[in-house]
Amino acid sequence: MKGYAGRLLRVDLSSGTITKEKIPDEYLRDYIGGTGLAARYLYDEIPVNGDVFDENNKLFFSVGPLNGKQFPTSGRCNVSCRSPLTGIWLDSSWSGRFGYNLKRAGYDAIIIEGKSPRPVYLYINNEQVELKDASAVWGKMTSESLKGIYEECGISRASCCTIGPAGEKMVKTGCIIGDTTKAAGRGGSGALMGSKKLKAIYVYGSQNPEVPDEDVWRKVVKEINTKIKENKTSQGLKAYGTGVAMAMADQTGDAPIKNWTLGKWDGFAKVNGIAMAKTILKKHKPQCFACPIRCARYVEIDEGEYQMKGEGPEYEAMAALGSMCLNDNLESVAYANFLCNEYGIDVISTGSAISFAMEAYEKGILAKKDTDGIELTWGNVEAILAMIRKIANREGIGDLLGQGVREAADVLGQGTEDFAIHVKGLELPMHDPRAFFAFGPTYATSPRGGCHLRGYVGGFDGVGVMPEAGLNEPQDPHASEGKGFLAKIVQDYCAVFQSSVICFFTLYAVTPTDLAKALTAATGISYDAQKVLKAGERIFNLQRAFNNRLGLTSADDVLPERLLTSTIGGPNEGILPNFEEQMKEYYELRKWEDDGRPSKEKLRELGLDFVISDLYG
Amino acid sequence: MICMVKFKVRLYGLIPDEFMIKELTLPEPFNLERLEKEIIKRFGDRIHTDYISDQGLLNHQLVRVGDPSGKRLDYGYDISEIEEIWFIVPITGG
Ligand code: SF4
Repeated sequence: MKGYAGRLLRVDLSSGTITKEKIPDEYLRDYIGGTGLAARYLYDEIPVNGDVFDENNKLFFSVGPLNGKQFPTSGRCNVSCRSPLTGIWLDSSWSGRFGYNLKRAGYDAIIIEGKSPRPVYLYINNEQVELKDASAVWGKMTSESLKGIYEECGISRASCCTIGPAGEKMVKTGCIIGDTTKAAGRGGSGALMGSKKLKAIYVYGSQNPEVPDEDVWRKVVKEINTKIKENKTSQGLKAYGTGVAMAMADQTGDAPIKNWTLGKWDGFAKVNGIAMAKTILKKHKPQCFACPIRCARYVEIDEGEYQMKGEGPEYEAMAALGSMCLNDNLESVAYANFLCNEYGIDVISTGSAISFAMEAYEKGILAKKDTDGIELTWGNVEAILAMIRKIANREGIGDLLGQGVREAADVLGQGTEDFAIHVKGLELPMHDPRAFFAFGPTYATSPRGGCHLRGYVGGFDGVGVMPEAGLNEPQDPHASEGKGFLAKIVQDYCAVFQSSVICFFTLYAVTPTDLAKALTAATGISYDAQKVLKAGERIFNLQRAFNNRLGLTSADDVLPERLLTSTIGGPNEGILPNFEEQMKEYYELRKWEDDGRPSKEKLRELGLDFVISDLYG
Repeated sequence: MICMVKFKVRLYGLIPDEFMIKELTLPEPFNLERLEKEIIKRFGDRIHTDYISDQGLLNHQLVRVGDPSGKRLDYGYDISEIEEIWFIVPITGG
């Protein structure tokens, strides 16, 4: 089938065998690629019983039909597995150029299974695929690991993704860092790699994927590229990066403050993308392949305590390591972000866990004796940096915090579950559902737990439209009605983005009609907007079924009580969503049963008949 | 006697690639309509057309107006005592 390599690599780390397998055409047609293809395979291949670190949990790295050529932002790669952090479905992706290389090497996916007896990395150079000894880079920080492997393999323009010391130690918030410092941050895929003793994957590809008609393809790419470039939000992101949203947080109330309690923080004036542009930002060559947006930032701090060079911090890091911990020192936020990337831990989960611990300390549940003498007070930069190191190295209280706030609260008890802010074990991203009501049902139902990217409603609530799905007017962000609907349509659409494996920030410009055009030009399959959205719905429901089989029900589709309680001060004080009403609307539109399973009728409509007997007996 | 008042406006997102803080002077009292007309007079050629309404004011469906505390402002009343007025088009970051 055009647009695809049509095969995957299956790597059994236990035996060291590597096989190249054909992917059934209907999987590619119905699930597109990326997270969709991962769902189709992993639904069959990951057993519902057992521990997440058992050898039968698998990692699925995948790309889609738009990767491997010049489509905007198509350097991305998806990784899926059963999450070490949440125990349920996980997909995560990173930008850069790994996805470009993987596709050009002639593979749509890599399945990693089993466990290696010794540290290895996977080497892919087109047809040449082998496991290599990783003992020289085992134990190394991510930048050193990447450098070591790039030097050892020596192909310019190759890509590599790696884990850091945290993943090796199976910290459940351990992430994968790709290319430079791009993170597949959420859910602990790095910990699973570590449990398999797989340090890294190195890939180089030189084949040009075939499309039905190169001229048509080039025309579509050009058209979409121009649209993205000219889009007004793209231009804002290009000028100031994602951190620009911190500069608006006093008005929107979007960024959480002090573990989601306050609504106002003077620190936003210091920790934001505009302030960064005036201080530590440096010009740097773009790190993401074929991206006209270029939101990624590069910073340098040459003097003082927080010297570093590297990417970020992006919005999520600024909020998680800044406002969540009341840390208004921008240089220290950049340094803390740098440390997280070096150790290979997720910045959102890490900042959230530190914020949680600070609250426990404030309430006297944790004391100095529990923190190895660290004063875990709000805004204490040294404490934040020390906790990052402890989490990454599984030392003292850090060992507990690195298992995520859900597990930490389980162990600590004493009411800490009231301020452990997560959905299904995934710490919430830095967007407040009291500011944009659509985040409520989105977080509550995302297949990987509390997530804003598996339904990027931030691009729509109050600002955007999607006429192809019936959203003709921007909605009031503070209206509850219509937000079940908004969550559903954006989740379906985002499932296609994650399956096409392109960056969510293009979603401000790229409509379902545009995406249909691009998929048609890449594959020759005739897509229209409705077919695109239907594919997204199919993928979303298959991931839901994956979770249902693991025991997930409607009782898990909740928001932390704190997020349904007013902030203290700020623009959203006293303004709360009617979460129950939102969820009712959402469930009705999804055609899900009251217990949280997709109805048989819906499963049949989506061609997911094979799921019915698993869910209904 | 006409009394002039100096105040700041923040325009975040209206001009897509330039977020700015500007000092303006207007005779007091003034309301939001008056201020928006002034903003459009000065910066209208650079403000994205989506953010300008058919009435020649800012499009409040997309543009939020607030005081420094984040309290929303609307038309029809004197706002000349507010030291800084924010006009933003929300971007929700990454
Ligand atoms: S929009 Fe930003 S994160 Fe996405 S590909 Fe471009 S630079 Fe990378």
